[in-house]
Amino acid sequence: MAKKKTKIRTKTVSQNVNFEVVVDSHGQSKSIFDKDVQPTLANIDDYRPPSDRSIELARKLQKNRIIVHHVGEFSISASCSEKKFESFFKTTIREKRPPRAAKAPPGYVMRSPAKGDPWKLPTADGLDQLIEKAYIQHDPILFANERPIPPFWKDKFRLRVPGDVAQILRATSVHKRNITGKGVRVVMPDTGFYYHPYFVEQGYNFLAVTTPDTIDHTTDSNGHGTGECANLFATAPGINFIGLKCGNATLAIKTAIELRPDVITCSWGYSVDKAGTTMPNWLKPLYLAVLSAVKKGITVCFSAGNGHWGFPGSMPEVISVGGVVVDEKLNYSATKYTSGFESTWFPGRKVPDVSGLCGVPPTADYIILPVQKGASLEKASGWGAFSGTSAASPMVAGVCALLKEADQSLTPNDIKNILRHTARDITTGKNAMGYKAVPGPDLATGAGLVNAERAIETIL
Amino acid sequence: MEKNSSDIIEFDVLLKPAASSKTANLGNIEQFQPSPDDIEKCRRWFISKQVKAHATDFGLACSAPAKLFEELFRTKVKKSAPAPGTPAWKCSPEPKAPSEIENYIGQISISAPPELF
Repeated sequence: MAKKKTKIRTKTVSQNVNFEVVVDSHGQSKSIFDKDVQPTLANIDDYRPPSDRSIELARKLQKNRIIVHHVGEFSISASCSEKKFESFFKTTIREKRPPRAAKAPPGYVMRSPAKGDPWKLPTADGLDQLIEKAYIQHDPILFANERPIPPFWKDKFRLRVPGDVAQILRATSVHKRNITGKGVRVVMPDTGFYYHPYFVEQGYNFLAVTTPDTIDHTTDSNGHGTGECANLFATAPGINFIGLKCGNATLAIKTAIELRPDVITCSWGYSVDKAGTTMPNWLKPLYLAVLSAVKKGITVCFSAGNGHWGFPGSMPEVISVGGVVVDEKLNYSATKYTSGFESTWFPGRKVPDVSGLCGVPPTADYIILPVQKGASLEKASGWGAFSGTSAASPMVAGVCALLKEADQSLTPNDIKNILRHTARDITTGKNAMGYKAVPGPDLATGAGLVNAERAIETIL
Repeated sequence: MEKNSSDIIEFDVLLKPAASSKTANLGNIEQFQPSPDDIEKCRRWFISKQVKAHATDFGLACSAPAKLFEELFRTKVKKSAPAPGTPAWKCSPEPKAPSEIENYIGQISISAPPELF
């Protein structure tokens, strides 16, 4: 078989190169480039060049317009433009793709002189007597593409998980009482659940699985499930979490039930419960599945919608979750991003029951949430900024989990009543349907923003 | 829009008690539950016809190529440009249960992916 040639392309744009310059000690120390040498902790001092030669070399490099970043014990870290590097060392820089085994990300290229290209140490100022070797340093390949902690983006005020969400919902003080959702199983059907370094860093009990009609539990190319579940962990960091990547909504609920959870939270639905309509036949399987879950004693939370006439969020048996926005001055109000309405299909049913946190129109980019690198919702570095009632429902589901840890005997209806009676009343702002928040329960935020501390106090 | 051979239709099958015209609630939901034997009988039938079928408490969650869907349920399907959260297929006439299982089947309906909120 013919040996495959390395594909070498010439560079197209000039940019800076970083390189390390190794000082020639002229016999005053051993050289790392000698054959058959192996520095160890025991002999590393033998390889250290005299510091005066390092300093002399650094000064002469600077004099020749090379940027010196650091004079180290063994080499000098420097940089210059590619053009300068080529003229300085009388060589040519080429672009080369890294070997496949390097598992480099797309677009990663290595820039350096190719083997056999000319190379000459500069003679100006006697630099050829001071430099032993110089090597271009390639960008490291990051083993985890995403940052494990939320970034700070200064363009506008946003909340960060877990701290901001937990504090505003008064969950932090509950966690300090050692109630974190331990032993409570929460299932969340959504677009997928990527095991982001953030979840690893936080030490969450995170398991991702699929429904029978989907594949690959490790990926989430959308980012919605991965990001929104961080809101659940913010209020209940100790839960046994199962993220369920799903397709068919009915099958998702059915699969979720089979996982025997205490709580199911769904950040999706259909905008269908409108005036003058009745439930279409194609939604009846889903309706029965959700009803069956509640009948089995599972507390089911659904997002009310972002201006949607959200079903199954409008079912009387579920906890329907709306949104409240809290600004940087800690003003609480209803948000025009979220739904609130009287159900047509279930007479007397008012949506939502309670609210979690959600941003404002047009995009509600309010909470910094982890996503898989390259996901549709990514803003940068494996993080996105989004919310919606998709964020609010898992937050509230987390508070349900805290209540279940504190008292396993609570029924879904008990939990809903506790949340409604202990929520923080919101009295300003309007929702997407134009309903005003007023003292007492209303269609703008339901009973208001969930308050985990007050909820727990009712049962302890 | 024309369908092609790779188009897959996701659909739900409710068995007879589940497809009752009465409204289900937490107090009467057991009355809507078909017998597990009936669900299994139908599941096996669908699988024998190369339909992917998963049992749920009230019926089956299924998927099949569009052409097979038309053959099995004596209907014609057409792709529609759906609003978010509505089925991507319309069928006419209404899907009709095959004679082998028609005694068990209450409703066959094309499902739709939900909207993310």
